[in-house]
Amino acid sequence: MHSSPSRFTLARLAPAFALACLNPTNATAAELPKNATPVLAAMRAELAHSTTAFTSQSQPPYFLSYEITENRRVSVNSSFGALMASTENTTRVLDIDLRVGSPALDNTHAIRGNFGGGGPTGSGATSIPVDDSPEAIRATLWYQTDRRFKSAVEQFTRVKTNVQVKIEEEDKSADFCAEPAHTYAEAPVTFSVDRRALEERVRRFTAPFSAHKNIYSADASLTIGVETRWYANTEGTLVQTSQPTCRIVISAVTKADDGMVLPRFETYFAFRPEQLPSDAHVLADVKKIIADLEALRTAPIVDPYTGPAILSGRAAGVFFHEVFGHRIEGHRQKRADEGQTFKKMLGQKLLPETFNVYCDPARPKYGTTELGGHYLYDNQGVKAQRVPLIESGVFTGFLMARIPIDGFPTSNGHGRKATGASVVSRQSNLIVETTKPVSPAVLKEELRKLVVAQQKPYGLLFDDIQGGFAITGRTSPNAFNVQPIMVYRIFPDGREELVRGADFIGTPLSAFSKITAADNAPDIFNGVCGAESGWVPVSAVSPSLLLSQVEVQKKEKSQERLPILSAPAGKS
Amino acid sequence: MTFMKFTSSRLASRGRSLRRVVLALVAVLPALAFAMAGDAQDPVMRAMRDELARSMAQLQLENLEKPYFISYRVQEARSQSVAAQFGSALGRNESRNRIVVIEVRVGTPALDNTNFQAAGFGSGPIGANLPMDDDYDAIRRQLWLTTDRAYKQSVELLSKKKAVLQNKTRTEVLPDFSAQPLSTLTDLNPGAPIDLAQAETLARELSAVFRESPGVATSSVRIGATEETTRYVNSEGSSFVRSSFLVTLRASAATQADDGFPLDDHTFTVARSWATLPPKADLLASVRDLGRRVTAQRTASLLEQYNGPVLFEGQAAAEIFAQVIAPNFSARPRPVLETSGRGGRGGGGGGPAENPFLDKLGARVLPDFFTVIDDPTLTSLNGAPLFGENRVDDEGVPTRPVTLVEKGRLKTLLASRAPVRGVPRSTGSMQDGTPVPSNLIVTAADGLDAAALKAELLKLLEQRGKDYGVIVRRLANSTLGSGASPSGRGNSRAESVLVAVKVFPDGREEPLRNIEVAGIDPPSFKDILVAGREPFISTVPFQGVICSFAVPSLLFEDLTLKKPSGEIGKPPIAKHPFFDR
Repeated sequence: MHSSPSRFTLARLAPAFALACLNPTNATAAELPKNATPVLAAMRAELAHSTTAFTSQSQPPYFLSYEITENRRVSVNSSFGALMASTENTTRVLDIDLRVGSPALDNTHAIRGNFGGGGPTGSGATSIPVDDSPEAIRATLWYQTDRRFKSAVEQFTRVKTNVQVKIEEEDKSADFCAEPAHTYAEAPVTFSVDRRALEERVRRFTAPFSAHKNIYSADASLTIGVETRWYANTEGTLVQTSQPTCRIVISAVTKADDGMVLPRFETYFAFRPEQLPSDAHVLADVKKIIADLEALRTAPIVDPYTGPAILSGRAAGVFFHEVFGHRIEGHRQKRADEGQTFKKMLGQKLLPETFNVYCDPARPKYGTTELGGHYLYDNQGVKAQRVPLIESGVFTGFLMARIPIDGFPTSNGHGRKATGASVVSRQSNLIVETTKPVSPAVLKEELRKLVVAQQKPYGLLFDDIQGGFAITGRTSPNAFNVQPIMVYRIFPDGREELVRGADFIGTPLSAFSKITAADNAPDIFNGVCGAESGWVPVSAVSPSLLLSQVEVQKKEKSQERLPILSAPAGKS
Repeated sequence: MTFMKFTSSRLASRGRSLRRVVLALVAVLPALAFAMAGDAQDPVMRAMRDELARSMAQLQLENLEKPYFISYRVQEARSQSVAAQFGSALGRNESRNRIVVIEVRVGTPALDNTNFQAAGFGSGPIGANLPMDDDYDAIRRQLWLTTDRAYKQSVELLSKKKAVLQNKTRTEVLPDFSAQPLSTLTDLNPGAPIDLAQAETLARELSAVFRESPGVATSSVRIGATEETTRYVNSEGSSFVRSSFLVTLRASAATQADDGFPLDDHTFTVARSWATLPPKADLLASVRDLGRRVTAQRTASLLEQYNGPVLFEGQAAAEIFAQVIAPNFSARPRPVLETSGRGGRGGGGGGPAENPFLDKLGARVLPDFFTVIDDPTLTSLNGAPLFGENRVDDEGVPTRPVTLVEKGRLKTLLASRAPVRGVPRSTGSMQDGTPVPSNLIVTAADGLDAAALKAELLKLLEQRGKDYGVIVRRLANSTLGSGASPSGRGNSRAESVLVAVKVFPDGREEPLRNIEVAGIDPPSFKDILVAGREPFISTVPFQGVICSFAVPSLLFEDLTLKKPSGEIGKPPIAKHPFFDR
């Protein structure tokens, strides 16, 4: 599995060794794993061919990797029971990481002083043939490698100048780190679906909305696909993985009489179509969505409030993803324009000691639910691994790509990206656990006690959320915003009342300090996360959490009036 | 009444081609039934008519105006495409979609919400996706919500526009909307979906030709097929159903000269069906020729700068006409502009420049031996197919031949229902939001054959005592993926030259590469000395719409050609792996 240490590794051990040179023999020497398709062989061959040619250059690359991503996907959408879109396609795209200079300083080094802080930016993915023809694949690899080499040399010149004219950097870690070589290949998953049957199915999911005149949009999408990835680099890593994924997303929107837009979402994730929920299950949820929307339309608006609250498991998962997860992505500790909330807090207590938090991409399931943030190798060919983040309440580490930071010289398998973007460290399956869970009933009882103790009229229960966002930069306040959809007021007498129009806001450290207890019913949010390296699938797992204090602000409200005419009467 | 008269005259004009006769039998006669009674069976048309009627009758915000005109245009497209590179498939795509474009006008035809550019605000028609299913309820629901949105935008725009006009004197007061007689039309030219596997096999085979061209760095072959069906109704009672089907095949190839200058070329073929694409042997030959052309460019010489006579032949003549002159044949009203507060001198300043041809109506724009006709009724010219044929435009206006230039003088412009100075009525040219040509036919009286044209060029060289002249044979077309000039179009209105030769007084030719046509503009065409006899037919996307241009070769008395300026990337360091053996 492991290749012999390259000169690259030496360069890391002895930073004074400035010019590491690429050694093409590693790539060609690596033996193709069983199940490897001709794509992997073509990548290996072109790595050797191109790098050999570059040895004539004054500044040859010290590292080169190819990643080819194939997506076979069928996607169908419906609205109010009618088919809106039905697509089926196969694409393969190529991403190249080519580095000149040395691991200590290379062309990916962030240029300071530019808007947005510089840093690696994707140069876009290129289409590459879907037939397994080595000649055609190599023709594209060759041409794109040449282009990437020339832009890398140009960029490296800019980097060197920038380093000289700016003040010394706070974080002196290298731009790249060595990683052991891996060879691994799983057979590509075969893919065949009956698109007509899927179309029928997705129509059924939104048909029940048609009878409800106050629902202004009702959409469902059903996507079934397989992503097959081939990765090869000059260190000798050769990886081929093939991962099927299936998603159903239902969304519907109503408006209150005052114009407030009120959405409801439901998503389902599974690796294989047969593991998706049954139609009966989905339609039962649709019925619930309709009832929730009707209730939300007439629910009272909540006023700005501070006081105790419970975040349901899914809401708490998103809360951790936004408030904590994005701030412990390693590369953010290095950029001069990032807030770096947790950078100096290693070894400090962030949560009660009953809490453990970790990311584990290698884990495909939590209980019986499949996790969308699962993978075996990240986008830099590094093996997925469990990364402890908070142990017994104490902050222990960062999510790392092959972008070293002070004290964290290597990757822990979290270098991720969408095709066409450059890798940064990203979350995978973020899991929050507690060693002293209480039952949901006890958690609610604790909330009521807090309401009474704090002399508040009520507490809040954030039951379902739409998503959220976090600002991690320095130029704006380091706030987060979690957008709940189903929020209940819990009165001291135990009465519950649905309200609308509340956004849960705050700053990370103060919000964390308010977490006091968790229940024993963890829930899972399977979603996609967007950041500078594009959209990647992630999951967040958490029990319901009790916070002694939260703050809510009024939701942004549309100024559009309701439709002038009522919904047309059906004639069919 | 209008409908009957119109249909019969169309039948007469369309009877010429065999294909049209067949079509007339199968489509046009039943079309009557479809347009009248058949409407009732088409749930989409029924939903459109019902929601349009309800909106005209009831849609009104208190104290604000009702719409005086509403139109729905429902466009559905079924697209298929495949691509291949170096003998290997690049992927395939199949998609269908249906959208509605809604126009709601409030005010009066003299002054309504259109022809107005609000600051930071959408001003055009409102669009939305519609279900692909012919589901009356689901479609009507979407039409209801979208009409609501369009109406609210329109009343807001009209009040803003009136506010802007309160403080301004208009130098030119034209109505916003012209009257149009009722018409009901059916023009169905459907096509069978292509067999994607078969298309992919063809694309692979054609693209594999480049395995014989070591001089070509990158290449691709793309085959697409699109069927478009449009349904239209408006509150005046006009309606149409129209469909068309086209198959396109594009091959492109690119490389660099040894000095790094980028070189490329393309072929583009259009057909009305898979079966009427040229035979495979011909397609293979044309792709081989493309490979040879690009390879030959690598060893052609550069031209520092040239001032003198230039002969545009064949494709180059059609492209230079389409790129430089044809855009000026479209009449677009100049919108009223909302200035953003500070507003300076208040008028005249911002906004798109006015089409200079608006001031040329009745005046000479070409030498007097030229006639230019836009003829959407033609399906072929001298036996070669044309692809701009269309019976009704996007506003439901029946199309007709329009003489744009007669004996060098500009007679009219292509217009929508938005009047411009000198063109008060629609010419039935509205496509995809703007008036565009369909089949633009350029003819020159006393045109010469190719040999005589070259002789004219040589004669000019002698008169001027020039060492050599230039013949341009192919011009880039950026929408077809070529034109890899390092400086883009530069300041020129024309794309870069792909194939050209130096011609010496003894008739000898020497290939040239990387040339820009500098400073060419519409007035340059007044200096054309003589033109060819036979037009070259070039079918290309023009502002997103497939148009056919039939243009004879053109001999310009004096043009400037030069090599592109700017930085040029070096050629690849490694050799192409396939040829590096």
